[in-house]
Amino acid sequence: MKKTLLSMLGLATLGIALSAWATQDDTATSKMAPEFSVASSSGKDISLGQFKGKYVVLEWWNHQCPFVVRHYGGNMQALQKQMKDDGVVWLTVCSSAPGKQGHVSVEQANEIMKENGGSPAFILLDADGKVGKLFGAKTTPQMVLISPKGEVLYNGGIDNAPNARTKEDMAQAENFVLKAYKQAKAGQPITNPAERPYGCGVKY
Amino acid sequence: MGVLEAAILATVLSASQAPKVSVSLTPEARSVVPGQPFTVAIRIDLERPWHVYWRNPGDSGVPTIVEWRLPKGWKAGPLQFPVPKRFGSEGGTAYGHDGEIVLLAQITPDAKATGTAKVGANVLFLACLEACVPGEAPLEASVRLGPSPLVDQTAKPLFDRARKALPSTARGLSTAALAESDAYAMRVGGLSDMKEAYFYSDEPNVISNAASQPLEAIDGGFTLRLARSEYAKKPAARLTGVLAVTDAAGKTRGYQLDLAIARRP
Repeated sequence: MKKTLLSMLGLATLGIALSAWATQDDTATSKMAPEFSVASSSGKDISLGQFKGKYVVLEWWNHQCPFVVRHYGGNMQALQKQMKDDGVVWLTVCSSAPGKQGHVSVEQANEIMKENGGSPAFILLDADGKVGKLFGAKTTPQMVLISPKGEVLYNGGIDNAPNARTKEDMAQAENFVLKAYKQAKAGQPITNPAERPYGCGVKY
Repeated sequence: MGVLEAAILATVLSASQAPKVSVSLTPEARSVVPGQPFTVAIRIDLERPWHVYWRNPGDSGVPTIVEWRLPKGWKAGPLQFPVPKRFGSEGGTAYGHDGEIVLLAQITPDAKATGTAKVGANVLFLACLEACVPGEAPLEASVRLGPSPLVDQTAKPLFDRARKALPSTARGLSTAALAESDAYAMRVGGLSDMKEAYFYSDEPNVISNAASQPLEAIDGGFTLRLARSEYAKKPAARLTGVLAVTDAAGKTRGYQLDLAIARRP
């Protein structure tokens, strides 16, 4: 079998070892978050740099996306509160373009978040998608955790239950943002620095 | 035969933002034999250009699933999906289906079943275009238990179309896969008249969905380079999925592949 493959694929491809795997985690965890400045629903522009010294969470948000609706059944609000109480800065990012699903005005952003009982520090109105693309946000709800030094500790899906349907399914899920945060606080290595984001595509 | 306008759970959307969709459940036979499998079709008729998702939805979405509600002792086999398509956006590449989508599954009645039985299927899907809207269709169909199967001739065109849209076996193809530093090389021989090819991995986190799959012609076939997923935990041991091959006339055929990946010794 080995012989067949050698002749089929040629020797050149075999010369490359799997060395890339060894360093994968290192590169993923030592990545500095890109700086940005963007309008927010508070009326003020928000830049990432102003939160230096604090943990920052970015949450990609489209309030009409069914996955976001599912997490705003209580899960997201609870996480926001837990993180906020611990001094984490929570930034909800709306990268939906004007006219597309989930796009909100300043007033709508505040009103919808209030109705949902969410408590982000700020809602970032990223209508041109700049912040979303800087972080490679693919879906809502995609989550990013940034360290007090500005390193990206986590970027990916909110948890390990993309296909969860019920509250019971969700209660069993492992939340990757919370896990990374707890590990970082405890000075432990981040075991899951990047997991596949799931949800609705970001409506750039 | 259960036909139903699917309940679109559009709690936050106006009807104008939701697609028209109907879902039906059709057994291939009117009369089935205890202990002997028969096939049922779940047909989703979705307004174009909306799409629902394949078993691996790609960069967004959620797999279309069926929750079976069967009499005690009955069993349902895996859902058989048509060859998927790609639906791209700046958010990434999703894998799914549009238009008429027919999923097949084998149902095996209990060996001691008698009389008439009800086969229930709750179909759960997410339909997306610009917006995404979840849908649910609880369906039911009756079959009679008898000594010999009695095929429903009126359903034949539906089952013929469904089977034509399924991937075929890889019989006749010579295939191999090899791990490279950040990619897998899939070698396929035995296909004539091939213009484009794309490999859909059954499992997420194996290959990158959004990356292009460069095609290189080699003697008697081609090599397809599949970038590994940035979310892969370790190199994959197998490439399992559907190879979709488009000929010069634009016709696409799918082949179900399951290849062991060879490594550097």
